[in-house]
Amino acid sequence: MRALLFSFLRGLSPVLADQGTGPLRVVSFSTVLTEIAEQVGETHTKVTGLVLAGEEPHDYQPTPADLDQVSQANLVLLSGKHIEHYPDKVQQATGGKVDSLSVGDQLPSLRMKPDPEEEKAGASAEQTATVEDPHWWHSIANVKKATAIVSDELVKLDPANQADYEKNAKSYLAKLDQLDKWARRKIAELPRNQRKLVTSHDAFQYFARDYGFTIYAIEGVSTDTEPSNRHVAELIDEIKKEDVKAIFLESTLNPKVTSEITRETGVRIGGTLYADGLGTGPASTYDGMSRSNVSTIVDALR
Amino acid sequence: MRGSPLIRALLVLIALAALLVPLRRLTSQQRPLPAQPPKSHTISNKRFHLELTCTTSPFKYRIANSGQMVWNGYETAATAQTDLNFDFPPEGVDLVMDVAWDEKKPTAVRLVVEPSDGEETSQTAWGTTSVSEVVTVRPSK
Repeated sequence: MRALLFSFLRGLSPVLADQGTGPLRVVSFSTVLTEIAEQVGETHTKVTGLVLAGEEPHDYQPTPADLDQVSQANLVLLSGKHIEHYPDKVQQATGGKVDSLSVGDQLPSLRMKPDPEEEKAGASAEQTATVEDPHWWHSIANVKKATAIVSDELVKLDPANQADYEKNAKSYLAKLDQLDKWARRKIAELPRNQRKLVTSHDAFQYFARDYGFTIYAIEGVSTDTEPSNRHVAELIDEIKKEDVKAIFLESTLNPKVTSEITRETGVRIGGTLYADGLGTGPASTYDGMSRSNVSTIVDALR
Repeated sequence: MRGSPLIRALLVLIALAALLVPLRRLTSQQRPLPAQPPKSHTISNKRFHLELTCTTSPFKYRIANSGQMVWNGYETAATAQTDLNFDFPPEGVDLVMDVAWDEKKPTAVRLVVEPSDGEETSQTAWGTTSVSEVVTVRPSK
């Protein structure tokens, strides 16, 4: 009898979901937001991450199948701050009926030049205007705010499970506090005058602000710009002048540029950083990604 | 000297007023400008007074600078203090403070760091059996 009842309830669950009584369907375009939604939503949500770990969010374009998923969702999570080039497509797919949340847009922005040498090359004021740095998740404080934003949205959509969402958010926030504490201790091993970070693209401004680093980026905010010879030459001079010990890579950087910098400066490669979201293996969680980045930086610059 | 006495008096007044500015410049005491320290990235070695207070005693403590232990001990009184020299770059230093005590109770721990020639930095942390905190000490502005 119990088995019969169980199979009946299992068969009924998709119907219940369609009627709004099943788990909330959440679609996420950010690996970090996917994790937050899973952690806070737990069994009350079914989270589908469309941008997967290790994928390049700057270049990502949603497929028709992705947009189909979007149209059936209760909540769409976007990273925001213009990292996605397709919010209009998402809007179209939802027909305005699905709750779409650009989480990063609700967080304070750091602004930067889109491309370091545009100004010197005589580009127009419009071309050299500052842009928002979209890599907000490299600040743990920002991820804590994002957790609160996602939790509030889930409560709004599903008030019946408010207590669970709030309890899960509190537990995830406590883990983030522990992570921040660990990061501060680990970074404290590195003298403040050695906190000079040469990265392949300009993705670590929020991290630098929180932990007292100075950034020297080889590329701009986006990974689709090639650094000019003049910018590389200036960077080589800066690395020599500031006595930088190591530079850090991403797979997206032109290896020719890296080779030139290491040859000219004698500086070594400090390792690979996860700049654009969660990675794979141990870096497939926010905690793992952050610990990997911090350890790589500290161990190489020490 | 001809002319109206009023005009003559006015001319004398104007002449006196014109002399006033250079006279004042010549007679006032010049205050020397304060010497501006040269801007440089050199790292100075400075002397610091450290004072650690814990509301539960006895307690054991360990202070590290850039991963190196610079001060540690076991204190039966409420306060421990010492003087230390360490490199002090313009960016400042991060000191890691680890303090632990046996009795399980809410306890406040305060570290005061005072350079020999600048303003003190202090930080307080709360814990039940231990605290672990990063204290950033920056040069005075």
